[in-house]
Amino acid sequence: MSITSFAFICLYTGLLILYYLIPKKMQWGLLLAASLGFFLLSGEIWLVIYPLVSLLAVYGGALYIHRADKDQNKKIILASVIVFCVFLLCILKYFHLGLLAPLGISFYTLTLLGYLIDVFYEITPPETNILKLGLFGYYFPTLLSGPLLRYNDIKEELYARHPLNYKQITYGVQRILWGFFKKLVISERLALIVNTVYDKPEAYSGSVIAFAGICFTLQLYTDFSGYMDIVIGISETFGISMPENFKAPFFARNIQEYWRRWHITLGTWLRNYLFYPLLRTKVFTEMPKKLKIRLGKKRAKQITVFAAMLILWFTIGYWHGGVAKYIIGSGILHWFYIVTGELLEPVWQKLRTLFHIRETGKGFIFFQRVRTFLLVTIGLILFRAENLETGARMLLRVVTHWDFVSILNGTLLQLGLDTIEITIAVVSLVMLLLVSTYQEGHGSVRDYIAARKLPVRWILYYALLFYVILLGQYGPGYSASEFIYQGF
Amino acid sequence: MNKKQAFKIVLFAAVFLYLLQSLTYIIRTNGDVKDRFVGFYAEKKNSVDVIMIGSSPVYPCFSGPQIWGEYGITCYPLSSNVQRPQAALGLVREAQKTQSPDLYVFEIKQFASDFNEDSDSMAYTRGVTDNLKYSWNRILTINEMVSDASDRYTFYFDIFKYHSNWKTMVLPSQIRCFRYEYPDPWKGFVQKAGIHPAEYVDYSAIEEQTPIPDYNENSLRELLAYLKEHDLNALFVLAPYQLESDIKQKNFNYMESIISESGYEFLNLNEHLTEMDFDFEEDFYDKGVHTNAVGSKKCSAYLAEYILETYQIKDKRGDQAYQSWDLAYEKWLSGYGEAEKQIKEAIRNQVYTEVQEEDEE
Repeated sequence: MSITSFAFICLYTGLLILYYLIPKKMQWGLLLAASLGFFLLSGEIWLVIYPLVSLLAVYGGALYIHRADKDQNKKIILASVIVFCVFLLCILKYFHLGLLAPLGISFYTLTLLGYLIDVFYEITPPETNILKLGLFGYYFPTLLSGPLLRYNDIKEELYARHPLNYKQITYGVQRILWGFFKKLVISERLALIVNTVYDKPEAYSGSVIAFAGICFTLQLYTDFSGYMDIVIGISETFGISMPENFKAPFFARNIQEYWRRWHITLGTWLRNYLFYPLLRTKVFTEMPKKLKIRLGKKRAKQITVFAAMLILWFTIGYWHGGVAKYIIGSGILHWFYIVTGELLEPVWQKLRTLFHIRETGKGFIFFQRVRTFLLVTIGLILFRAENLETGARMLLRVVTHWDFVSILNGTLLQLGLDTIEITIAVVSLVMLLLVSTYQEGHGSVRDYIAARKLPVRWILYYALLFYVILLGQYGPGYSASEFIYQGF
Repeated sequence: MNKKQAFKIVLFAAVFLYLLQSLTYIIRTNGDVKDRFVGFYAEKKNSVDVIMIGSSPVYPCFSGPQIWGEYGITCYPLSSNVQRPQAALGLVREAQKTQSPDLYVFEIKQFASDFNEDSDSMAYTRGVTDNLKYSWNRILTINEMVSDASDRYTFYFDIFKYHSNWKTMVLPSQIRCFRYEYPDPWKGFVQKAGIHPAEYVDYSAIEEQTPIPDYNENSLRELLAYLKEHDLNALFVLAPYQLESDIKQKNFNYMESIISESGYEFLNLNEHLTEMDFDFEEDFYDKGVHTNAVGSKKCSAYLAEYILETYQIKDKRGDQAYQSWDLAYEKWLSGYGEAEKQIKEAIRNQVYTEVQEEDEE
């Protein structure tokens, strides 16, 4: 069931009303029942067996780890449960064995394993109530695309008693509306151009492919971050705060910063539960010592980190789908960007000095942001293409078949959006940019609007509401695509 | 949350629903069907004597303005293209909200159609449901007409369908529909100024009966029961048209027996062509399906006289409250003169309207 579907909106509204009508001690139980209902309504019922098995393994593993005396035993249990859950994830999702994967398997697996590792490191005590752990693992708003939750951060609010709070309800609904704006008005509109070009890339010039590539980058962002807005907004109406998953990623000045702003919870999870533990393994603690003699201390440490990062980025790429286009497009290529950037930093430094470029200058910051955006777009061209080979050919075509004629001769208006539709997309993107800029510099836009007088507020809310209702791409005769990240 | 905050939420939602309703009314697809229904809602309360319900043969065939001008009866069609029989009851209930007509006229051609409710028919279903004001009756009508319950929400909230019409929001003809009430100067009538001859095949001697599709028969029986229960006058009519086969005649015979059993009249105009002086070669717009202006004039006069003879309806001409009908009649008169000229010229030059298969409903 899509969270933008009419059925979901009706069920959610009913759930919200019920949530505040029932005794508060039963609220988390209702959310658990709703999560189970969401799971059962969204696919084959028998598939519920997989998340149940994972839940039992993690629940039991955590309790055992907490009670076990010997570190060795704890490690064995930890490793066994991780291997079991990852194995289940891989055979159901990544090995393409033709098996049906349960809903949200990637997300609930990472969520539960994060909890287990936290118990192992005694960051959190184990949850003794399996139903409460079940809610944490399968909380329905986050089930399909995250954000990835950390048990310690959310447990208080998840099981707390929530009184009806005007601000939480209104802010939550506003956030949901903003998510719908991104998804239905921008993402679904840009999808028309993207689908046209990516269906037959060989028919288009390099400049058109580049245009479609940029459109896809914006489509993916508005799709995924729009989904997050809806999820976070829904959760806010239940009185439960979610971690942010995006922070204006296209304001990033380099790839490292980009990944601190894009899919933040995945980055944090992998850093905490893969990258740092990896660096603590014997292989990686020994590596700098061995390399120090030949490369020197600084370089040896750098190479060690690069090697660990290679595993990290391979995992990120693989996590997106286990095929080459994802491994390269959203993984290894980004590792390459970061490594190259760091290795060439002395060169860039010299060039900046040579040309008297101020690092804090607005022009330079703008250049860095555009450069980062384009680097990300290159990766996403591979990511969106049918396969790695097609993606590579598309990138080659951008260079070898570039022409300005197709930008100026109206070709761009024949890709699925006419002048008015493109104008709507551009105006909407400008609205998004303005809001992001305000958030980046000043903080919450919702706080800003809430401080205005009621008529101003309501006019703004109605304006956005009807903007989405009228200009959104949905309804009969129009099949809204699934959220892109639901596939991962 | 305090009472003031709760009130603000309720008020916000109420204003939103009102704006959503008005906006939907504005951007519902424009055209003659919308004009007709919007016009119906704009009619003064209890001012319509005869309400005509049925498919596309109705609105070009029975001219309300003419019947008013010549006989002093106000007739208004609640007609839409390929209107399925399942719509009839809902339309009667809708009409009853603002009018208490002396007579309902049902054109029954569609009752003999074996009409599958598929995607193509959805547009025709919407011709009815999406031209009704929001109300409980509209929900009932949707339930009666849309069998797939999972699809009904796009009918209940037709903004799902029409939001892509947003570009028409700037048209004055759309903006004025924000309450779904705006007078139709033609009183729902559409004058067709073309001709395509049809060949008359006489099936009137056939007396056998063939049942109509079950779902249509059920609708017919439910309608008859409702009319009886509410003591409403009704006349069932078949407008002139070229029957596709003898089966249709048998279908109409079957329906006639059901209608008669219930104590209602059935008037098959195909069997009164001579009295009407109706000419299949000159009086159809599109080869025996819809009448043109000349054919309409004959049918309207015949129907009006039949109604006057059979039912007690007062002539209201001269009443100041019916000025809009006088204007409609004037409009019809001048329109008719022009249309008749065009039709005669087309006959002389043998220039006929193009007929496509899908028009033949």
